[in-house]
Amino acid sequence: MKAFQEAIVVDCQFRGLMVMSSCRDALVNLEIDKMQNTVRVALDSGLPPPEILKDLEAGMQEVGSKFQRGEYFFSELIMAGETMKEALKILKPLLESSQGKARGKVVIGTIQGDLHDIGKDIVSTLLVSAGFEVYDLGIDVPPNKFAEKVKETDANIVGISALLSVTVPTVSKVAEAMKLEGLRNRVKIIAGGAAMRRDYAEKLGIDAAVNDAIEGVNIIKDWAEAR
Amino acid sequence: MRPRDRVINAIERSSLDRIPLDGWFRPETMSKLREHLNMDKNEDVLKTLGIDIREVRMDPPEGFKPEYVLPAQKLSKDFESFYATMFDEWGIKRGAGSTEEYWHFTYHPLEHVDLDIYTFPDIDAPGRFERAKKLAEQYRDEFFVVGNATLGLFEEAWALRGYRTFMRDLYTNEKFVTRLLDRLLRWKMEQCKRLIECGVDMILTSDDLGIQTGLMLSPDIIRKYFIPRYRIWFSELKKQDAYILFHTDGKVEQIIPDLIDAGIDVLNPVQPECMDPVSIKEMYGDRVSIHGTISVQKTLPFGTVEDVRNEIETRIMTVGRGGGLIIAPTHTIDQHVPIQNILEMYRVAKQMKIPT
Repeated sequence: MKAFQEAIVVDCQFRGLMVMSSCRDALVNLEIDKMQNTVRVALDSGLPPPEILKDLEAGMQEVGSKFQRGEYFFSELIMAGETMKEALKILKPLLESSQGKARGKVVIGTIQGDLHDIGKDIVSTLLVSAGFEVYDLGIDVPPNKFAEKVKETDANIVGISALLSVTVPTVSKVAEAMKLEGLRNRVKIIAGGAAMRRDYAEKLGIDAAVNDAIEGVNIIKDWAEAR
Repeated sequence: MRPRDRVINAIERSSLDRIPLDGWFRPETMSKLREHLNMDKNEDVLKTLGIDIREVRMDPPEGFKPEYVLPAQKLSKDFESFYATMFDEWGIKRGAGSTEEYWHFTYHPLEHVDLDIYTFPDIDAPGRFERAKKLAEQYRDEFFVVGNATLGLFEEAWALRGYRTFMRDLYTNEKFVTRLLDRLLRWKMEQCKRLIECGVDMILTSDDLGIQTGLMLSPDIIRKYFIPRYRIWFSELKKQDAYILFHTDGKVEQIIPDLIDAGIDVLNPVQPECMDPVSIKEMYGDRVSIHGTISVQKTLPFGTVEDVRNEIETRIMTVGRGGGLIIAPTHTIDQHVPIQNILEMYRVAKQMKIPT
């Protein structure tokens, strides 16, 4: 009997792993139309939502690695983000009741004067899937709005998207707004966008500047780990 | 040498007195240049800078009034079309940002209307090409005339359908993508045909296929959906003896050979932050000319006058050798770029001898 029970447990674990890897595979293979159903099957097999999310995060990391290795392109990064959103439509309500403390709170937005949102949205989705609580302020966001949101949510990380060269200098005003509100010391600020370069961070008075979404998310994860 | 001959000779790798010049300016920048140079007309500014190319484009039909959502009363007429939030004649809504410097697409008709019942604008509506024809005739004796036929297939498709939705279509809805792109291709070909009949020498079209660090779309998608259609499009225009200038931002080395095979003559802008213009010239200079290469991400807005001078000199000494280069900013110059940098760019480029 004991052997039989153990066999059942092993079988369930095996099936659980199989279902989990289907979620990850569906994400990595960008099977957007199948994603919701794959998540439902995983839930029906008894897998807890946080486990499925963890698996999907691993999938997102694999997508990110493929992007950085040049196997995936920007369009695939967008598709992975959209596929992840499909999974989250099912998972999010369940996670809210079962998930523990967020890995960190991030206020994110595109800086005033700039209307680009694709890069910001990718970063936002990657962060949500990595277990961060994300407050997305949208596009064309005045510097003081970032500070207000940090105050309101007690966020510890700010992500600023600035794609247009002319909006790069405005990023420094976010750091100034944080200082004015006495928040700068407890908040890490990262900016991203096509025109961003690593060496801009110091000039802009922020903690990091990148022109790659995956690199930006990895930096934010490192900050969260170091806390 | 006539500006017109200078551009043709650069593309054809014939003798040149200097590198030909082009430039795209935001209305505010042009206004600042007029003021600085104490000139009333844009044309006088272009002549002073030494710009060899003039651009014409198709107009909306006679009597077409964009539906302004937020009338831009406080803006001068010159700026209205840039800043106003409006529906254009495709039914695409463009929304201005808070600083009124840029707009973005905020409503995409094909997210709401079935493609089968969606009507494209009438290419033969009265009033479309009269101004282009008149200007092309006026410019053609002296200048090289470009017919602006932007947006291209990818850009028009996603403007109509929504960026994310169209991206999803590209991966999951081949039937729809094929139908939309084929209809757009037919429309764009007609548009270009009429522009060439107006007397333009080169057609400018654009599809941003790159981002800063690589391709925006996977090469498989580009080769499946776009390159074959570009080939049909451009080969038709070549029958009318037009050159093709293709704009794509970003790092696009991987698909340059495909674009060349599809028939482009000139590639814009070859952003120096994304691709090395010297390598591009070395690899493809015998098959395609380069238009652009002067950084609007770094040197022009943030560099000193000396930085600008160095960039122009370096580019002409390296990429300019043997022709095949038209110097221009890598995108539209906006109002935050110091006027002195703009003036230095054109001053140095105008006076520099081409290395032999």
